[in-house]
Amino acid sequence: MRENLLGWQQFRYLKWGLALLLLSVVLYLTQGGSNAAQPPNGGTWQGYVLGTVGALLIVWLSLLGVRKRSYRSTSGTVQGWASAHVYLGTVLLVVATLHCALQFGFNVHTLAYVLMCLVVISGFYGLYAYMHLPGRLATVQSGSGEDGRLDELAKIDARIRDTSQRCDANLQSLMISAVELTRVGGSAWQQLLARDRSRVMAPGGDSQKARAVANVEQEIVISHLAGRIPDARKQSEAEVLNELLGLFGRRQVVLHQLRREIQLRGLMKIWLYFHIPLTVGLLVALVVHIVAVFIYW
Amino acid sequence: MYFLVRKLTGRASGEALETEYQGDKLTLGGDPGAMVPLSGVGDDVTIRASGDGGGRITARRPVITVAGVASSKATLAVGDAFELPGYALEVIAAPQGFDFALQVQPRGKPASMFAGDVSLERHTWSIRKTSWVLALAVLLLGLVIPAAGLWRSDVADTLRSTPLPSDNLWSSGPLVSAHQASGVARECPACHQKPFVMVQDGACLDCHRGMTEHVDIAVHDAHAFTDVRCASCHREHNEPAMISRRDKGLCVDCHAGPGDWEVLDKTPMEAVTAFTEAGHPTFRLALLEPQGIGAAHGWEVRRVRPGAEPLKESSNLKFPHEVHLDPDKVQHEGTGAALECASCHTLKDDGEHFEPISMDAHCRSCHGLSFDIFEPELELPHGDLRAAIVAMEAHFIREFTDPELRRQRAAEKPRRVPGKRESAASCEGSGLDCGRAEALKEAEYQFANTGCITCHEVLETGLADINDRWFVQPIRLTGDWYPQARFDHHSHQSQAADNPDQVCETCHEASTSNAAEDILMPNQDNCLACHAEGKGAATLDCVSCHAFHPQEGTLSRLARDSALLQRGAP
Repeated sequence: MRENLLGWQQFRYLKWGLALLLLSVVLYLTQGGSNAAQPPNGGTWQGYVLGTVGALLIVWLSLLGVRKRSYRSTSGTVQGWASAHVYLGTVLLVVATLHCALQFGFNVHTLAYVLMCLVVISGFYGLYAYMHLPGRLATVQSGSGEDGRLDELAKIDARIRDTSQRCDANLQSLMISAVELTRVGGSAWQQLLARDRSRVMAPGGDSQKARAVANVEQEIVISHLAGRIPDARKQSEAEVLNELLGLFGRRQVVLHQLRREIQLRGLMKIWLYFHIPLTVGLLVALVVHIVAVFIYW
Repeated sequence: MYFLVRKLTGRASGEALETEYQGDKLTLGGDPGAMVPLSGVGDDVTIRASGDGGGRITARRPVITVAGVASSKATLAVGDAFELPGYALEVIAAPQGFDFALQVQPRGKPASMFAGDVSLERHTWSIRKTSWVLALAVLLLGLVIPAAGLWRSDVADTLRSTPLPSDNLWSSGPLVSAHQASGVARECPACHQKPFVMVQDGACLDCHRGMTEHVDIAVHDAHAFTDVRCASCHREHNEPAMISRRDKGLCVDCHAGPGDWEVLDKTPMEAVTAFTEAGHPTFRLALLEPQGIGAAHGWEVRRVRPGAEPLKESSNLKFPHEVHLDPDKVQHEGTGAALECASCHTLKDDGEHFEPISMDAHCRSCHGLSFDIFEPELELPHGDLRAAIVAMEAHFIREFTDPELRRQRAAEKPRRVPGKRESAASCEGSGLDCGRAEALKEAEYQFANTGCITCHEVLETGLADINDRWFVQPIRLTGDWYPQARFDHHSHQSQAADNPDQVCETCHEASTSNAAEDILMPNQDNCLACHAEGKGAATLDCVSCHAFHPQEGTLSRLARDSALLQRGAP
């Protein structure tokens, strides 16, 4: 994955990017000094050139989204485009900074710059996600996908329900509540954090009231079952408890993997919820920036 | 109130778990505080018993489905079935001792309870919708709302005076402090008068009246300058804030090839490419020269560059700086201290020029004009030849006419005073004759020996009449040696030296000059030593010394109008 994207065609686009970077810096350095009519800024001819290059880069970088969807296109492979997208997007950060010569203010011009930075930074995260998370996800998945895991969980839960029928009422309600109060996923934030918010109805002693307590990684249930096995009075009771313990042990593993899988899948996608809307905002801000410059020329 | 909740375990045996609850209401749902935890319901559901075995169920959102219709509340009777997300519920007949009984059965696979919660799609904002919102927000706040002020100035004023987005958001950088004035600072159209049109000169000249053109259109063809705007050189919104170009190109772009600007019958300009020995013409002195004998035709300034021929000042003054700066020869009359440059040369407020030297202020304390050793306190009037002669005649005639004075003069023998004529003590003849003779003798002495002739060039005409016999050449000292350049003496006085005169002497070698004709002005090499191009921080740009908008020259308004007329002409 790494070689394919960043090292595409013997780092072809890295070389392009570096060449563009060098040209931009040289162009920038020809501004200013005691022999210049103005200090470096977007209004010198060098500034106009850098600005035009930056604007064209932004438009071209946004076209990756179009290129991705046009399957019949013959204009290079999507992977080549993505490789160029990464390198030229990074160089854009420098080109735009040189264009504005680090002059910032509370205005539409800086708005476009800030949006551009946010897009590029979210893109950096996207690159990280694209390069590292699929590998981790594959490790977690180890053969079975999310659906297979959910099915396995359903089967385990059904067996727990069946098996717990052979227990006393207190233990049965404990088992059922542990199953029912298990939490996986949730809101976007909860999916990304992957914190286990499962609970269980702990037996309330003499009074009939039970209360829900945290059951992180099913440990309350597992330790309760494990604690009861030595006290079993009958062989059959011990067998039931043992079977339940095994089922909850497997459930613990499946739930953990499921959460991690959901988390990784979310981390791989979440940046696009920023990258794409910010890109659209940036395109509009770019138009506003250019129009505003020439309204008050 | 007592509630009974019968939870079916979901197997064919119909086995159920029954739980009793006590309270004024029964709460169900995914909330941790709910009495009956039902994961996946996602809302707080409350049931209140009505006393007849039925009750009223309420939720905040329409999660209660009765007969296929979703609702947020329902009235329940015994035997009524309804659904909550993931559960089928039924109100069953309450056993003895209970007010309300509910049967709960999970529906579907257990995994489906959180199957919807494992992907981001349902829990994040829509990428498409967010893109639209962001795009429209940027467009509205950054362009559309501020642009509303382009058509109506009252709208623009309202936008600027409220936190609403105004055209100030389009400013690309700070204004110079001079433009941070009301009516200009936040009012963009004060300068940007027409959208999509560069700032026109009229906008500048509205406030800056009386500006003169660098190029006098009376001399040069204005047509060549129609595309030069004020803003070609005066750039705003820069960081750091600056208003004038100060680069070499400002001048050199045109003056490197002065051949393009030659004017018939005018001395061509010299090429300037940089402030260096080779790139800048030698400084041109402004020599004030008398026209005709005795400056009968006035004085004229001759601009001349130092060349092979040594240049002399023609002020008609006799004045050796060397003598006056020698403490052994000349001391301050009051203190006895040596004279210093500042004893005579007082800097004007402009920091460049000096107050004029005058007889009364600078010379008379030593060079008094007393003419009669019997009355040394009497002095001749200065600057008016005729008045001086009349004063001498009147004085001596009075002395020799008044018998009392004549007797006194004969009786007294005043001490001989160096540099003064020994007056005649007695005279045989009428008072008028004696007085006139004495006046003539004194005048001869003043004009030919010592007195006027000390400092002045005196022309002896050879005429007999005392009034016509001498002519004192008028004196004019050059006040501005380099009229096309600016110079700040103040900033140069900070040079390290033991006394102020040493600083002056670094440029003006006065202490070795023994004639007033010596031109003590430094030339270019003196300035180049510190300020030439490439000398680092001390390097000076053209406008540090030269004013771009000269005092003389065409007024900008006229020039611009004329240029426009020319451009309009076929």
